[in-house]
Amino acid sequence: MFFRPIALVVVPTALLYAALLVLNDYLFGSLWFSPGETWVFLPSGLRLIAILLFVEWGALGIIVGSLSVLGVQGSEHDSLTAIGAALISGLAPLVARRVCLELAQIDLQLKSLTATGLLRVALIFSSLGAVLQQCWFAWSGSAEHFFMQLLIALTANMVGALLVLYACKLVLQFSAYLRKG
Amino acid sequence: MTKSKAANFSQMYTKYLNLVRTIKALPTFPDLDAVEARMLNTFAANWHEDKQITVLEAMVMLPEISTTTAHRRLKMLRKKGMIDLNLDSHDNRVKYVVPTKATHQYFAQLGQCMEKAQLA
Repeated sequence: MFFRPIALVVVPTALLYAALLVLNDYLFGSLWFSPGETWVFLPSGLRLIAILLFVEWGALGIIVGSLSVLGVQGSEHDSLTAIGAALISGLAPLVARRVCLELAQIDLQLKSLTATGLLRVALIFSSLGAVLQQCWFAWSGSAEHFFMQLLIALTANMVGALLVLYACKLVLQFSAYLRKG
Repeated sequence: MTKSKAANFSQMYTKYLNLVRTIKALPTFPDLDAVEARMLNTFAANWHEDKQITVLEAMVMLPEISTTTAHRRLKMLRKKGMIDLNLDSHDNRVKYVVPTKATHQYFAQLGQCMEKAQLA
């Protein structure tokens, strides 16, 4: 009863999230504003998709993925701040989803979700994720340039989400092309 | 598998299908090549004068390209959502090439670009 979603959703989400975190560091490490602050954050795209599809199981997968990378690679922040940030990376999208259900008029089944609506949802996810994360860093005393870091986090989340969504679109188009032969 | 579990998986799959549909519909810039852009410009001049263009007329509008190429490009323009084909109300064998919402947006964007260029 409990193990099925863990095996089917949490573990794959965690693995994919961890892989995206590592890939993001590898690809965009040179775009760092300060350690850990980059202008592109690919995992935010997975956050969006995982939460929209799997809700709390997706959030758990993101937290597990985030914590496992933290455990292996360590962090620029102290342990408590880093663990808090990992928890927020999974919980903030859940809050964003709740906001979207109320404000962006999306339904639980995503039936009424349009392309423009999805972009609006991505913006809400990116903004809330960035705000909550930066508030946590500010509260724990790790935010030296709050507004600049907030702007970077928001841009990174949005660009990352768009890149992942458009990558999915390309994959879908390519698979349709392959099926047609 | 219990009923509630089956319902959960069914809901998840419905959400997946809806998300895939939405992602497929994400906006992209129509990538027109030179021939397609030239065909569209020629059509636009006619539409501007309220002239109707049949598919056969559209295929011979650009003398420098063959009818086969013109036909292929018409199909591409339709696939990219830049034109649509309407049936004649009296004769179903006749089809008219008509602009779409994307065509109007395309020309509106070009118009804005020209305006900006003039102001610069």
